[in-house]
Amino acid sequence: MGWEREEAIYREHGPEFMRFAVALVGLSNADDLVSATLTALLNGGRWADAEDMRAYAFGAIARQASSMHRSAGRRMRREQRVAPSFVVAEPAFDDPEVWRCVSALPVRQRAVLYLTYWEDLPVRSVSTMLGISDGAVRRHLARARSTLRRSLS
Amino acid sequence: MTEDRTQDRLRTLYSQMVSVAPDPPPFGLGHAIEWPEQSGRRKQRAVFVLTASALLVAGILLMGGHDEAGQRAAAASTTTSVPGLCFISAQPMPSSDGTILTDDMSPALVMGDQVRLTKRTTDPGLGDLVSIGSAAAVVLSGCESGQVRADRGPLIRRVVGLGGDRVQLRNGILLRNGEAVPNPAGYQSSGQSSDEHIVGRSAFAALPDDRRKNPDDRSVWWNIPIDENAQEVEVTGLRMAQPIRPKARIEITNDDLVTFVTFDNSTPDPSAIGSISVQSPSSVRKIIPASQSPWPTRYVVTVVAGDSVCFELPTKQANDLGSWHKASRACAKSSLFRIATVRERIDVDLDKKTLTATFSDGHQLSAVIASGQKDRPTPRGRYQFFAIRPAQPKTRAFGLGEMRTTANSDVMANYLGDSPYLISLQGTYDTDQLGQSVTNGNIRVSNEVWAQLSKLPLGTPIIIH
Repeated sequence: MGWEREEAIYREHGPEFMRFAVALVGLSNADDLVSATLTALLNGGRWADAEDMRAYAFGAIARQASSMHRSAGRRMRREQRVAPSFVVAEPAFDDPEVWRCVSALPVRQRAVLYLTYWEDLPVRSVSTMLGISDGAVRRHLARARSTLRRSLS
Repeated sequence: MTEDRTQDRLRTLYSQMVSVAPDPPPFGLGHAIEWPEQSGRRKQRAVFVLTASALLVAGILLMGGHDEAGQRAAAASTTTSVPGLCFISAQPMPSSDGTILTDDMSPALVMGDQVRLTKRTTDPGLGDLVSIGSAAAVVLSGCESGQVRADRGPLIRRVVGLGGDRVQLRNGILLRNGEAVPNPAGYQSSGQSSDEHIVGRSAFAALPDDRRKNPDDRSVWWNIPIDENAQEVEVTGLRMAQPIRPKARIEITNDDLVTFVTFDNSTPDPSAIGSISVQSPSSVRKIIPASQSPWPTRYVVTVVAGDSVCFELPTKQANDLGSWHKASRACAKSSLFRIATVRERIDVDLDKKTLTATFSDGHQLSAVIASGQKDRPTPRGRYQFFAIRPAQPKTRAFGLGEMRTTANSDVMANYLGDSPYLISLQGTYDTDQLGQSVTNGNIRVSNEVWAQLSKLPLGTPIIIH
């Protein structure tokens, strides 16, 4: 219903969005993250106005992930209080130590890391996607690297 | 070298992640959920409610009076507007308080509990209690068949499934995504079974804890839309069977506290303040793991006599404790409880205006306090804190929140006409008042200190010297 452009972008880049979501919140929450972002984008009605709809969606996923991260923390605390048995296990990766360290980073740093090291994007593109300044991207990257170096050494 | 190696490991991780990333969810605003009441009909009902309310008020004004006939007429008017009330409850509820009038969420909520229905929840979590306040809830609770459930109070259920979950009852056992979910209250199976339901993306499934009284499928709601139907539930206090009066309070002396019973052969520490791990006071006859109890799990022991143990009830129950229930204490068989000494405690020195908290690892925190004024003193004695809640009202004097204690201020209680006045340990933004006697009996500390104290478990003893 008037979402032809949005649907076309989603069909083309949906798998990319999912991969980004997995990198941000893990496998078990990626589906929820993309769903929630898609709903927000469609309800917001401004997605189609974006100059680069793909980049705009990446930024929206990162913002939604930050929000989910906060609410997930609250939810986990509530759940543990009431029913400690509700635990979602992440699949084991070959190098669980790296995953543990990456998942302990703030969401914004995780986003910058993924876009830099997996998508191979330059700082300018990352900053445009995430809606932050170039300096902020460099700062997040430096902090993430430093944390990982310390944790993995 | 290290940097390169870190990046290699990172890229390897990402390659694995993207290889296992599932397909994206289908395009659209989630799964459509058919629900009996949609916005169009709700608008029609809003008009009806306004009309019915106006008629009700007019009827009472016309017919009401101080004579018996007038009162009968007013009562008749109320009765005839019952369907209107049913529709009123069909509207989304604003934030409000309510009293629990059924027992199907026991022991989390028992009859008489007072709850506050706060903002609409957009993020229900598993295990959350939510109040279901929409037309849908009313339809399911019996209004559609002409029954009015005004006696029902807020309709509160526990969230058992979230968007995308597969939920089902099989022989009374709740299965979530194929795995059995233990009943948080430890109730035995009610035996009912249902089809498997997939919870919609913007919905959740909820059910009462005790389904034995409503063993039909309708007691479980599989697809409750999040946006309009659920409110978060905050337990704000408990209705007391009788007001706590100073005379009814058990005086705790050192002698009462020196006897401890332990089941793990550890040496009792008679000098410590004792607490017991206990199930909900309303469920002393229904054993549930203390870890799953939404109630305070620690209570101060007052007497250990033979195989019975008596302990201070931070709140009182109108029912369920039966003959065990006496004033502000409860007694039960000690075999139901794990009895142990605990290290956590809060000591308050009113003369020096200081507070010292001892945490489970033994470390202590000392702070300056503000306490009650001369004519409204802070009561001295041994108490415990039993609830924690945001500050009310939110002003400079009242900080982040308050930890409610069992200490009753006689002066304030008399002033309020014999209602209990339980003092709180409050945070404050106004640190200038610390070190002074300025409150109505409450104890205040800085917000920073309060944030630390609020980590102590419910039931922690507070000793006011």
